[in-house]
Amino acid sequence: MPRRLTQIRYLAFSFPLLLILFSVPAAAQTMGFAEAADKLVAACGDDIDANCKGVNLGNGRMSACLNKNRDRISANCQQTYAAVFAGIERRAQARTAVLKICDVDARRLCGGVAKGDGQVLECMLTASKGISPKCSQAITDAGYR
Amino acid sequence: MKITTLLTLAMIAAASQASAQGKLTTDDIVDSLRGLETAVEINAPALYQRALDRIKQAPGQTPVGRPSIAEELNKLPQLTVEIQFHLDSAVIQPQSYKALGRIADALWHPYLLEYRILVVGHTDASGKREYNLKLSQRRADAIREALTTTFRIPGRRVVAVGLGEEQLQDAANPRAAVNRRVQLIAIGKL
Repeated sequence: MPRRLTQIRYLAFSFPLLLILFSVPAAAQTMGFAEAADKLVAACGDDIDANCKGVNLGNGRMSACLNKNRDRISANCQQTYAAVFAGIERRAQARTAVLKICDVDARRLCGGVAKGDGQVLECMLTASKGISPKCSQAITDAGYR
Repeated sequence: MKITTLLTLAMIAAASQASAQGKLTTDDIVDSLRGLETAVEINAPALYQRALDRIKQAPGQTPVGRPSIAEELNKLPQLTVEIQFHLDSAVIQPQSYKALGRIADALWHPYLLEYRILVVGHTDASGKREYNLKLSQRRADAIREALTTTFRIPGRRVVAVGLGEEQLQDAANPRAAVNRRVQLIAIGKL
């Protein structure tokens, strides 16, 4: 059998597999900030009161405090907090990056209508055709769809 | 002018009612803040200084006798949010993390993506005026810090100021809980 055919068959099989692999983390990333905060407090509210009472959320302080006290906090909180903070950070990073990643697409698809960042993003979110896979993935990672 | 004031008061009242019920959604926040017509020049440190100067110049002024310290803010798109702090502290209670998350979700919404927001902290009139002013500034700063670090709202989009008990919601009842509040005000666009 010619080698090229094998490669094509391999690709045909792996493509759906790749889709599954990529769609799983993407789904996990769609959690909103409010939802993430809620999840953190549901799992760690009592632990925060008991171990991190004078500590604020911002600047990585709460995450550091829970980390420092990880032997004292509940099993539920232990299993939850790092993933929640990582999820928040991943989404925040993705939101910061999305317009940069989609810049070329935006110029092409929304250059005539949109002026500010908000309008560009709005245009990109409603554009159904012609978005590059990279930009499309960035929009998904940012949780905008 | 009177109609504007009344409308603003009605809007604030409606917003506080929504927050008191704890049902303020991300969309409510977006809707309340969007629609800024003209940007205003807000200098947060100068606003704070104005409040501090008044406390020093008129220490005996009763709550009812205090005119609004920042009239220019009243006509801007705004809402009152419920953020709980520990007593005499700038530490945000975990029960209010979700509200912070909702504010962050709203500020990342395409409609508000270019908006600059002023976070205003207010206390009631228990305790000393100058202490309350400082406490409310620290509280507004804590909210700003969470928004700009944990949720990565660009720092230039969020300004924080504390006005202590210099702009009471209910001056006739200076110790009423309704006075302890946080306002989010749209002040400009990037």
